[in-house]
Amino acid sequence: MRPRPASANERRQLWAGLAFCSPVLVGLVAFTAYPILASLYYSFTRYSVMKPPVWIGTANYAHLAHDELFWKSLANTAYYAVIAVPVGIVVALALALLLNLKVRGQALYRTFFFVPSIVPLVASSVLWIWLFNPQNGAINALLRPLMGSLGLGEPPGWFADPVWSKPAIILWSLWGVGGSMVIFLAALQDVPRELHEAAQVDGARSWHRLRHITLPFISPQILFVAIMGLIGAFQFFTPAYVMTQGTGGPVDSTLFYSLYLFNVAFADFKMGYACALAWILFLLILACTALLFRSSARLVYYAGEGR
Amino acid sequence: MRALGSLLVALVLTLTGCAREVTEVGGRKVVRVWHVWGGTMAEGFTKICEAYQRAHPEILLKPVFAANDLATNQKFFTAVAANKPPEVIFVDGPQVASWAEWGALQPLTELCQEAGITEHDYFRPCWVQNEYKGDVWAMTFCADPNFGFVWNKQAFREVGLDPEQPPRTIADLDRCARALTRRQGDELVRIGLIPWSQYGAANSIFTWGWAFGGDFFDPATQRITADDPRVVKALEWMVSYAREYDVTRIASLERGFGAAEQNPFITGKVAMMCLHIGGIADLARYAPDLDYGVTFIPAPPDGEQRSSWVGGWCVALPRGAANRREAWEFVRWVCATPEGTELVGRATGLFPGWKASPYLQRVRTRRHYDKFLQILQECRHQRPVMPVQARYMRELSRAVDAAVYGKLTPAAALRRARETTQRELDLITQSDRRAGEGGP
Amino acid sequence: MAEPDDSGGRGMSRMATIAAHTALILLSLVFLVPLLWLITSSLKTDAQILRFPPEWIPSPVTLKNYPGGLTFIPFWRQLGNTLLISSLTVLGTLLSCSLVAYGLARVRWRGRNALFGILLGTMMLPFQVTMVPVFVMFARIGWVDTFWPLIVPHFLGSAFYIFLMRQFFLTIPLELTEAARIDGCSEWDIYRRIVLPLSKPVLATVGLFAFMASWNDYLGPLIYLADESRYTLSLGLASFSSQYGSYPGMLMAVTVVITVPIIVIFFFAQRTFIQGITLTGIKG
Repeated sequence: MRPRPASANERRQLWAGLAFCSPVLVGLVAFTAYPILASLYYSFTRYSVMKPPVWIGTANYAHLAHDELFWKSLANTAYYAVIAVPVGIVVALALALLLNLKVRGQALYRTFFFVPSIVPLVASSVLWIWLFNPQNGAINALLRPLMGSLGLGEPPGWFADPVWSKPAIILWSLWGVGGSMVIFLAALQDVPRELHEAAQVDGARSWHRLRHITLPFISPQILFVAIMGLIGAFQFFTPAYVMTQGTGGPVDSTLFYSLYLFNVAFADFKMGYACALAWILFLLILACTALLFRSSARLVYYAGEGR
Repeated sequence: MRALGSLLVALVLTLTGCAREVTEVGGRKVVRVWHVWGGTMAEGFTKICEAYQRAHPEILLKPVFAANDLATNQKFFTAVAANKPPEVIFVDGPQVASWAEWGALQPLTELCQEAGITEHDYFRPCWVQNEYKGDVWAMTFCADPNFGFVWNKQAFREVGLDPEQPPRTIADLDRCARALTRRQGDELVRIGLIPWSQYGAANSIFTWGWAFGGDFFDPATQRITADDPRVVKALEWMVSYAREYDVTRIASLERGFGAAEQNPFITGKVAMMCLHIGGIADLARYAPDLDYGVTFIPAPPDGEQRSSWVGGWCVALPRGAANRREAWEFVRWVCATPEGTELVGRATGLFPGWKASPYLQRVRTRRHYDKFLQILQECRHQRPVMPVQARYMRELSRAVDAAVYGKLTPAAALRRARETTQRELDLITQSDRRAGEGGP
Repeated sequence: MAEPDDSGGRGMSRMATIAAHTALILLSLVFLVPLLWLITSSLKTDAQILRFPPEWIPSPVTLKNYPGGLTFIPFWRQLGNTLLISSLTVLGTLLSCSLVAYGLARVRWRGRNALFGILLGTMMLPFQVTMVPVFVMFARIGWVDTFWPLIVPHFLGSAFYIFLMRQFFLTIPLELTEAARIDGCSEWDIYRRIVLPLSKPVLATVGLFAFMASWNDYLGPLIYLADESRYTLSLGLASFSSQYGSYPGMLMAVTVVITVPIIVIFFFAQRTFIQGITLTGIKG
């Protein structure tokens, strides 16, 4: 770009922008820039927090390649992200669409769907372990006759079985989609009625209305939920930690990346290595988010951009 | 908007009031104790603190519940790193060496000498656990005899076993387990024993590994011996249960609630298990009518008879803590005085590690506790004293998991645990050596 | 929304209404089972809770867990602490995030995309890693064991909510603000008089999220608060359990006590934060 003198208007806009963003500029310097740089430095050291860090060059990063648990936890996390994020969006959207129908009692239904996302984790984990109990849990009590009649054999062992522990955690995470659901619902109620009415006059069927009017209109919110979901999935931690008391079992099947990172940092106190793990995670998330942004650019529609 | 603003200012002013760091209040030195005694232990611990405060009006004792999980480690270590530690901290026994290695604690060696406290005052494994690199780093608050082996007499009677004859050998144990197991169709309704479910997979392999005559660490050579042939044999035996009863089905028996107090022995799902001393109170609370007995853990004839190891919590002084004298006085009182240790026992039901405690005399004749006392008195082991202890526990737990679920053979799984942990340990000893040569 | 079929003309056939209700009721059951279980557990003794298989309707019903749980922890003081922290957090979040989001979405200045990118980036760094340096910083200025570290950062914006608000602000048609700008309104006026009034829904949504996050936060209070008199409810909940035995019944009772108010608030205020949005006016 060739430099040109900034007009008075541009300068005014610059100052206004900086003024509006000043809280976060201060926040970035104080609570982010310094800690991030510190963590980058630590990732090249051996550091246990209480003793001064010792520079060891790229040894931490080099060790990653040989760290079986690094790969295992990365694979578990990818599994979770690839399945839980899209499924979560579909479920939250479906619930929001249902709640947006003009039928009686929606206030009550909305509350019901939202409740799970506000139950404290301590209580909800106790509950879900019970629901997923392979022998006496409510889920298998429902599945057993169903699968029996279809000749599918025994229902899954959930947390007792390394193959089914991740699907169980995904199901649990779906129970807490209330947050995304609210975002979609807020967006759906913004869809101008005139658009629908026009479409109805055109005789557009409901599927077409959804696909060509509703979805494009709420696409910014979908992108938001997708990105937040992706970041959340990469940093997925608390439920796995609570469910398995930090072990990531059975057979490492619920050892997610952040859980491993947490163990390295606060059980083994290998802060340097934990920072290296965190930076790799950071870069991965950054790459995936950029990809998501890039690929969605044509699909997302902002009314305000006047396109 | 303006009203909001003034409200904000008012709040800011109130909040700033609490912003001072306090190590002394009205001339009284403050001793903050970060502890783990929530749940059923909260009341007892409060009693101990109140008694101490009454006897020592010149200080201000402030117990602070700091939960008990990895998040607590975070709380403590960030505080030490920022030079704001409490005066007294509770440490899980096997963690003492690691915390000392990382520089989170201050040595108590001199203080012990001054007070005339020596290794002979404590059950041997308790003292060993708190010594690292020639210094004493913590005092034992409670010495848990791990474990008492309990059997459900009612269940024994039901299936025609002699309720007064608990299994003594592993062969006995297998026979009883088989007889006690009940199925309903394909489902297990009751199982004799779940060998890998004795307070976590790592504690299970410690328990059976020692009972089979194996060991896990050689402190003289700093070698990890997870795949000691006898430990491998113990794991092979544990895996035989997974094969015989189907591991997923067994897991469904124990995954009732997931909360720590969930105990399949109480619910009658398991007829025999290793019981922690705190379990006696749970049994009295949840299943007061359960007829059971306590004895030593069974062992194979060529293994270690009457095998056990010590668990429990210790108290230490964090590095950089204020009011060292006053804090030490509290530690000494709860860990090494007749009044303190007796109260610890009475209020919590746990055993002090201090041999002369009058509480230990008192339980000599109490049902079930008497057996636990014997187990403590004969106790030979403590979990390995080493700086990478937490990693070792996790690796052992993974090994048991992998073997029980048939992903690796017991020998291969334990070899992996040894290799991984040894590598971590060597990293630390190497950097020690380098530091000794005057390196960075 | 209890009002009968509106006049908007998007009437549903009888069949469709029945189908919708069926789906909604079935899904509600799925989502409600846990809540019911939570409530029934709070009415059981600990021995009943441990009973296997569990009983759905406790017999006998006990109310003891409620007074027991509320006195086992200093409930009212912890509630006060939690409310103070949560409400200031909400205030700070709404103020700072709406300002920043406006600056990013509606003011055209060079560097705004870069700043937005950086902000997004900060969301992605695991907090475990920045935690220790941040703690040391707060310790240096003497804020450890105060509420400050739990509140002040929220007055400096939070990427998650800024993103949410920016997305919302972007959907407000440009013509609206451009017209005001041509009329000579300052950016501040546009923010205060045009954008904010149109943004009540997103403010309500962000406010609710910020409140819940603060209400349920465990790690923050655990690390920063060192005196039990300043503990919050989430720390109080943790003290019902220990390695040596727990009080699940009291835990459930207190959980019910602190969850139900939020459910009630949500039930009555949902119009504001989900439904109060209208696009009429923006079309202008």
